[in-house]
Amino acid sequence: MKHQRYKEWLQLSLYQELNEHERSLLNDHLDGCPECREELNRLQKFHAIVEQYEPQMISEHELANARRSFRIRLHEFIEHPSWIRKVFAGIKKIFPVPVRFALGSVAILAASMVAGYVMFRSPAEKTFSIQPASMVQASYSSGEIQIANVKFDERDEQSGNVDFTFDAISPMHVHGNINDEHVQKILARALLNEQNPGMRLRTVDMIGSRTEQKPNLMNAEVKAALIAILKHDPNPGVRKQALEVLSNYLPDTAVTRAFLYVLANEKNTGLVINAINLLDVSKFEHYPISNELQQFLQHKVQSEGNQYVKIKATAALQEMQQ
Amino acid sequence: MPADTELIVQAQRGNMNAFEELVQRYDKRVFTIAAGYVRSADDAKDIYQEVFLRVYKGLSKFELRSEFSTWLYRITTNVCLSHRSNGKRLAHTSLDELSQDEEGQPYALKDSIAGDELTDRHTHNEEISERVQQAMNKLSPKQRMVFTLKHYEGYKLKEIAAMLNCTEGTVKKYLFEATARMRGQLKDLV
Repeated sequence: MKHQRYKEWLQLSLYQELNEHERSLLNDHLDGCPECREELNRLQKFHAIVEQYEPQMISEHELANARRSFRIRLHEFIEHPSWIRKVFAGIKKIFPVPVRFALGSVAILAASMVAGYVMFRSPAEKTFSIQPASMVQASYSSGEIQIANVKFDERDEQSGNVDFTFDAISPMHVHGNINDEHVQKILARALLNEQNPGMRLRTVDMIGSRTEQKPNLMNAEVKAALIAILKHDPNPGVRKQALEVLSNYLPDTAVTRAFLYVLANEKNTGLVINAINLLDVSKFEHYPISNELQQFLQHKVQSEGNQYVKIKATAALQEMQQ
Repeated sequence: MPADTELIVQAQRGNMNAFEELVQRYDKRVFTIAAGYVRSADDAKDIYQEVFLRVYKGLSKFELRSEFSTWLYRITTNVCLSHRSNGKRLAHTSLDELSQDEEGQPYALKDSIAGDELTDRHTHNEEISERVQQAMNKLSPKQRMVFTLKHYEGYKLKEIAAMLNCTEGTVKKYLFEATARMRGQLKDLV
């Protein structure tokens, strides 16, 4: 038997996928083949390494959450059929099967023509799908599409068929007002995808320039992006900027929890001090989150190692208890 | 406990309780497969919803000649393979999760409190884990799916072949390719 086949069997043997006969043949081969014994050692080592990457565990809470979300989506699907489903249901009632096939073919042909037109028309004719709010003056223009990040999924050498994905990148120019919700949303999405920390810092700063004026009108997506940056951005300068912008939204529940997250988990002491300084507890009176905050501060007073933060937490707690 | 067949027939007649029972009988497995593949609870939740919505839409045409579980897992792997993650750089941070916070979902205070100091070993394991994740991300979707189902979920090759609607030989091919690529990526560790 070919040596290569034994090498494949080595791997299958680690997954208990060999039958008795195959296993016995492999063992005989291993007795006389140092190369395969070495390969088996390397494979076992590889398995040990890969096993350190633990599977994503699903908690009962997440499962319950998924079930709940699915029930809502199913209910919407049943109660509010899309116009496409209504049209199909109508067609199904009216036309017999052969006519439906013919209509389907016509529809596919029309869709293909539209898709071809959209894909191959000249760049100058392109339109941009994000529409600015009607009351706000904003304009968009786009440049030529570039293809990047090509990833080959499959290749069939015999037929020549290939599957691959890529990112189509088109440079966009946006002219608008920072108070425009659409402009804010674009910036928020850019924030989560931008690799350059300097650009992320400028983006947070730009988003903040609006929020300081109208803190109550912050879009949920923008706020969530800022919270994600505050919690997970690798650059402390960007996190600090996000902290300052978000402080305008206290005592908003999600923002408050983000602040508590920073106070509990942030490794950068300067940021922790900033967070405790910005946490003005006088704003929290009559807000449901105040109980949670109070509990947190109690824990912080007992466990905090940094004296300054401990003193500030104690003072804040006393202020809340008064 | 009613058999799958009985529940399917009742669900096909419009009995939502039967459909729900069917979902709950298998949804943990579906969720686990999805989470193992996408490595994100939020993306897995999206896949979960899409899978069972497709099951609901297709149930009326499901013929009882084949196993329901095979059909369901086939849908699951198809949805996984065609899924494009919503998250990019911050894939581990779900915006949905944050909005749930806003809506007042249960929030354990202890979750936000730092644990003990990480030991060197823990850090080392995390680094390895990160490297393995990067190596897995470089696999093609089918290679990653086969590797995940085999290595982390422990399915037999035959079962994976049924899920992916291909031969056992093809599954082996993906598994060997995945292993070779992973070993190439992790050669300094192995």
